[in-house]
Amino acid sequence: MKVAVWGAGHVGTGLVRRLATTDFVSEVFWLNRNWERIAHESIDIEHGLAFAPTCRNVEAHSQEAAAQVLPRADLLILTLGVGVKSGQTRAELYPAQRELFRTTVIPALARFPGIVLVVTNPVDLMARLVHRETGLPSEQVLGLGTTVETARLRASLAGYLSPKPPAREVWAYAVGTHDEHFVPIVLPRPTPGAEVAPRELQAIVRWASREVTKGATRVKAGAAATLHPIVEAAVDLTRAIALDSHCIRTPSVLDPDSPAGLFYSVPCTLGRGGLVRRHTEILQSSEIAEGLKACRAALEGTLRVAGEL
Amino acid sequence: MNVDELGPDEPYRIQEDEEQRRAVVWFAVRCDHPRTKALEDQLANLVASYDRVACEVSRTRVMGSDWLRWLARLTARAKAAGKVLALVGMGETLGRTADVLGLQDELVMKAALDEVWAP
Repeated sequence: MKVAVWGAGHVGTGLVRRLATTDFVSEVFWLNRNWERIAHESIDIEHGLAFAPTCRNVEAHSQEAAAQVLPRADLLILTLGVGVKSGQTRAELYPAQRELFRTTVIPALARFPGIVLVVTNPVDLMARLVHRETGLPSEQVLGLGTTVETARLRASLAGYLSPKPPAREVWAYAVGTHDEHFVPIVLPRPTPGAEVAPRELQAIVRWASREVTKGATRVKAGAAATLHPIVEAAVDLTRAIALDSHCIRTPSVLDPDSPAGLFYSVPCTLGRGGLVRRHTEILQSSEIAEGLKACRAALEGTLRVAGEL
Repeated sequence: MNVDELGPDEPYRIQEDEEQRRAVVWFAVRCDHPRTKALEDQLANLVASYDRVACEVSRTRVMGSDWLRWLARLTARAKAAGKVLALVGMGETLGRTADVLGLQDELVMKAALDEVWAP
């Protein structure tokens, strides 16, 4: 698969480095506002390609060439934008990021045939913007959504269970929005071997959810945290698309029943064409429905403030 | 109890006082051992058997996050049974780890053993 990465912050740079070493990427096209910033870095990555299992080419481009470069890619990952600072909410960034996308990304996507994976925050709103303003089919626009929250939730829950299972074997999803409103969904028996009393599990899920939220806060504060799970989450979704794996993840996708065309995370099957299926059947309990309602209300609130509703 | 006496495979040593229905778990300076099922069960049984369990961590400089998670789970279990499980003498490093895990409010922390035994 040929992947374009737009942005050269910590996530964009980490992603390019990581994608070049996977076994499902053949070429990486790296775009950035400032070409000088990525030119030498990309040569460095190129020098490591002799060790890469499948990647044969890493190119650095100025974003002015985006319209010419992007049609060569199967997947575009958007990481550009202003990072969230400590004390700032992701939603507060929306007007500035929207302006940035409208002047750079959206025009460049006019002839893009592939899939867009949005990492830029506020990710649910940015994915919605890309979908609405490019006219790309909704299946082809994904946000990273709560993929990271799901991963953090599973890792944390695994640490409470006995015997400790691998995080990937814990049946848990974080759905809703990529913020503190996310809703955890956990099976009464999260792994086949684990025995947990229902009340004990409730407490454990509460603690694990708190750990998930704290993870995001630490990233914002830049303290005692790395962007490792974010990069890995983007790589994981790329893998699902590249290998047409039909695995279930929690990207941010269009809610077809939302009059505002909202994007938020639900468990989804992913394949070569992007979204294959949304699994809303597991979201029917009143508690989860209430949680998702709060997520939608928060998104609509931001859109209202930004003059879009 | 001198935790320096603990062997390399001993994450802790237990000191039981059946008469007082209490126990102290003396954790090693470096408690980064695998949290095996046998150890989990041993600590869970301690909470089931005694009214008060003190986890003495004042010399502990390293403790794996899974150990803190398990202690939080046992703390809740003790509370539900009207008992006490407390961490005694927790230092700054462990405190920071507990904070990262979001467990500051779940763990019962005491400065000294006497505080755990106090009615």
